[in-house]
Amino acid sequence: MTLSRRTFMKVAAIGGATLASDSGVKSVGKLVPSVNLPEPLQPAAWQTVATTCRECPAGCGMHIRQVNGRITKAEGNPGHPVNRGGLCPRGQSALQGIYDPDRVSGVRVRDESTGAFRQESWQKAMEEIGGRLAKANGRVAVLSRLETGSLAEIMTAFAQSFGSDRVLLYEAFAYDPLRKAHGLLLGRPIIPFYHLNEAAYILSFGADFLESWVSNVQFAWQFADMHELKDGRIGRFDYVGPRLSMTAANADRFFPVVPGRERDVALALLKVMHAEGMIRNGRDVIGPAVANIDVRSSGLPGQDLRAMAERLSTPKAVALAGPVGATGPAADQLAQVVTLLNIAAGSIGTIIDFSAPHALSHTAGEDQVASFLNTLTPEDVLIIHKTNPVYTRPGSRALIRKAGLVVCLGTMLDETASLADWFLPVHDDLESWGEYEPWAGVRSLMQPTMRPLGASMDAGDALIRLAASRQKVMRTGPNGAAPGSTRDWLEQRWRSQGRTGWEESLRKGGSWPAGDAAARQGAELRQAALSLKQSAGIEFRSDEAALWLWPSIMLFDGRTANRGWMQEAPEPVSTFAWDSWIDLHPKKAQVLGIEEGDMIELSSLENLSIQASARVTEEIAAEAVAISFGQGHTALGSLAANRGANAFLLLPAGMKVEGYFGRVTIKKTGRAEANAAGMSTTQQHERELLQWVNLDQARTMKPGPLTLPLEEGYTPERDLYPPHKHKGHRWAMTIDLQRCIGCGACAIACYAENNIAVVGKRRFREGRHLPWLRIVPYRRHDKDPLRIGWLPMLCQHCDSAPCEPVCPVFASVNNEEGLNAQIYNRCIGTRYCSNNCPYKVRRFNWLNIKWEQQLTWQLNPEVTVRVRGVMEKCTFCIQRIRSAQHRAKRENRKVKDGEVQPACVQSCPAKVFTFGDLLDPASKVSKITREHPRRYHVLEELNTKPAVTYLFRILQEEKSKT
Amino acid sequence: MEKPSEQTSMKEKHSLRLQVPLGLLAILFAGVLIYGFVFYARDRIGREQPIPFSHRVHVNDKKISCFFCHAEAMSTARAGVPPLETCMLCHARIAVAYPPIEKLRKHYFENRPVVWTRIHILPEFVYFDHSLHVRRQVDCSYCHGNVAQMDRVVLQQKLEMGFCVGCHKATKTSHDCYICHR
Repeated sequence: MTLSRRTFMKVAAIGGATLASDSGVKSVGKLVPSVNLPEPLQPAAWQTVATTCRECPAGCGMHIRQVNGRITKAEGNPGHPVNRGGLCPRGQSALQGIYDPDRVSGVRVRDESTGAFRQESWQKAMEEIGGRLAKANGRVAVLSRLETGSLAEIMTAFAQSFGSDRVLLYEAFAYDPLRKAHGLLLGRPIIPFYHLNEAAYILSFGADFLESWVSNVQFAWQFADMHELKDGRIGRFDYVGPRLSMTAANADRFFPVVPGRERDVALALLKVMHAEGMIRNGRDVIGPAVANIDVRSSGLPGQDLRAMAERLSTPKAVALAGPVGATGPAADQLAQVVTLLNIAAGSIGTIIDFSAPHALSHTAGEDQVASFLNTLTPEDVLIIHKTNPVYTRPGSRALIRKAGLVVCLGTMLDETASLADWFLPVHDDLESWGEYEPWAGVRSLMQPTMRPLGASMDAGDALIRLAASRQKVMRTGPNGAAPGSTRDWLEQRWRSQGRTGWEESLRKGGSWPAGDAAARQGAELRQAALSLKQSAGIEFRSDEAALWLWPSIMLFDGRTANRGWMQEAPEPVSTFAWDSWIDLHPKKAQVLGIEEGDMIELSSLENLSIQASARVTEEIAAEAVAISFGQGHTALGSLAANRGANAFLLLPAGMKVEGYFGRVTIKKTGRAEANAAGMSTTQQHERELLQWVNLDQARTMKPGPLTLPLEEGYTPERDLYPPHKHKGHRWAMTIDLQRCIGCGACAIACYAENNIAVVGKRRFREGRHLPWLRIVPYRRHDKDPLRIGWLPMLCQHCDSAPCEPVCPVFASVNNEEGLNAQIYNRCIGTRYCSNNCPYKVRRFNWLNIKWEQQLTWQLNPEVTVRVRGVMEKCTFCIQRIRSAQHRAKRENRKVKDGEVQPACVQSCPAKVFTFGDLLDPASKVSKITREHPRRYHVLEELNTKPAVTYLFRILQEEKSKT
Repeated sequence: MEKPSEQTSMKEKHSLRLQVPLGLLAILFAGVLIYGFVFYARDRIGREQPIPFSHRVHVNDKKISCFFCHAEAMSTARAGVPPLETCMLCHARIAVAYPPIEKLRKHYFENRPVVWTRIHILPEFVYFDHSLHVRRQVDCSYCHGNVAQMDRVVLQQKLEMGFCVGCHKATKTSHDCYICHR
């Protein structure tokens, strides 16, 4: 048969037309109702489940929002004493942990012939591992991340049932020096509770307490409270350290010093306080200790030292000792001196409270970790639970390999799991039962927030079953019960301790003392033989510098590195993301001929080296280089692996080095790669976007003129368009720049709530990422380059919005409640609106972004997922406004002030934002907008009449002595 | 001898050349007709469901209220398709031997959900709240048609923007974009 080309085309056209002429209904039409609906659930209605965040040892309370059995959003639990409703970026990224596309769902075993992993069944795993355990003759060791309560008990009981007592709770950041110093000087080797909100003066020696140090969300709200202008009084914060970190940038004064010389400053301060008779306690110990100290060698001008000493001697002053992640003599000495400073300042027992030790006090110290790892032998069965020592302690690789059988319990195939003989997938923290006691007395519960996604098992259940497979019975106590699961263990432990209200506690998130009931506890100073030495002038060759390693608020010790939100979130000071970089002072860079973006190599004295691109900046001490922990994974997942450099590789073995992390030599590699910066500029270019006011002025300030985004803001001479009439509400926001610490939690909350896509490094660098809310770290001005303030910049919902008149299709319109609405299905993507927006808050979708499985489950069903060619921007969380309005309507009442909380407002640890109705004169937002003395609009002169009102950041300048 | 035969074969060839495509076209045309009829029927009679649940029987004959099964319509955005346990409230005893009910009960006892075919579909950028409309006394049939007379549910009203806005205008309700789109 021959078929002419012409006929073929005809036939094909008709056939095609037939196939295409479906009735126009999309094929998404399936409805799958449940068979049995759990009693309190309603389909499509939001549920909130209280649990505890385990993304770091801080243990904040979380509320997980769930709809139709899927969890979509992690928020802070407002009733929880640690975080009081705020949640840091890491905690919010827990959702991307549970839905991680690289998460392992089945049991893996190393195939002896090929050396690669293969699938295996749980039953077989239990049999084989159980068999090895039975033959181990007590050579069983358990290595876990920090756990308290039931799971810690289960692990101990597990080891005991096989005749072993080797259980090690390992954290990469264990604050060993601080605990040792407290033990040596005060007889309490713990991390005490800090009441920073009551402090009048905080002096930090390299302790980044707003990012990573001990309990960052708690310290964030505490710091914001103490650093707020109240009744003419305000707290002060100074920072002594090598790098202008996010915490340092929040200080009223930042003193850059070479790593290791913080100690000299602290010693000099102690000497000054002693010499001037400013010491409250411990004179007899401090006197001899500082006898040989030379104040001049601290490197700081005498008047600055004196001013700091004076502030420290006022009531309610506190000193904090960093750095995070360092152990060794230098860190020990710093911790001792800082403890002495606190004793001298009288803050022990007031600001520093020894009645409630932090859970971190139970982590293994450096010596314990070393001896645990060094005693592993081929007879040992090593169980590793949710910790990654091979990454955070590269020297442990060979030691862990020595164990005869390595069993990893985790969710991801990280560096440690890749070494294991067995990998047992356990529940994610959001799928597990458990408890965690961040501070003694604060007993926080964990409960499953959704059904487990894969064939995983609860970690505690796995251990109980492993023991049971060998007829070992694990008991809660000497005569205790033998619960068959973690959940039962938890509940029985809870009830046996005489605690009532199990259900009530589950609903609330745990149990803790109401208010500040517990009496503060101090500790007695002991006579200790101290040998405090100054660092005696460290000298560096021209290609050498002191190393400074720091954990960022996004990546911490690297455990969150496979999460798109954490990789794409700009680091708060540099705005860099998706990679590692090395901070280098321009002087050093000039000597070595290094330019911004050059790949440079840092080699330690032990000849270990890493490479990353240079960030040439004055925000680091001249003789120091800094790189953050967290990147440079070799495993863990597709986003984390082979990205950046692993700074842990440079950690000196045994830490017996000068400074905290030793010295490194810097070498140019000849290659260059531009850093991926999240903001095109952090300079204000004299536009005064972020405004500062001196403290003296702030005290006597009167509200400046402001054109409100209301009908009353209309002036015929200045306005081209008639005023908008608002129906019922006029939503507005205020942002207190003085409280903002720059952590970026709000931006991550926005990503989670509004289905914002993660675009990847290349497009991030091209400026094509899609944050609706960006936190710009503006430098104050050229003459004050080390002073940073953060400007949360989101759609200002202007009343005279420049984006609206330029839209040819009315996709950008003013809503009757004053919102500037972007209607995606109208938008044709001309981008005129973005060009005309003076705040540059509109984001264009250049591509269709593919959402990996299971990350699609995180998508908020109440927000449209945007497609290519559409402009998007902040909506003031219209879905939350609507849900509050609908709730109010169903209950026949009005929306209450504070009932609507956009995602950014909810998540902010420092409570920077206020949101509400400007038409309601009694609302908080109305009061602040109309009456607050420090109010201003960004770019007020353009007469856009923004609905977002900012409050000046306060500048505490040194008082010049006249 | 050879020539004429050659001629006829030429003719045959010609007619074949025409017949094959024509035949093909005829088959395709028939296909289009059948296909079109299927769609026509689907729109008029309603789509087939895994279990032939009849709204007519339940609403018209048995006088069961809409909210007995679609209880969430009063309190949430979605009307909700009832869980199988709701069916079992009656069908634990009633008509248990009727084959479709047998199938339903099998699903229930095997804890296997029924996958229904959706008739009323809103695009993903439209957000509709049932509870507010029900509270404003909008009758279910206004959008969903008179299901009391339907065995299979038929899409009588396409849920398009003009339909929504028309009603919002007529009742002087807000037709702000953010009412439905977000």
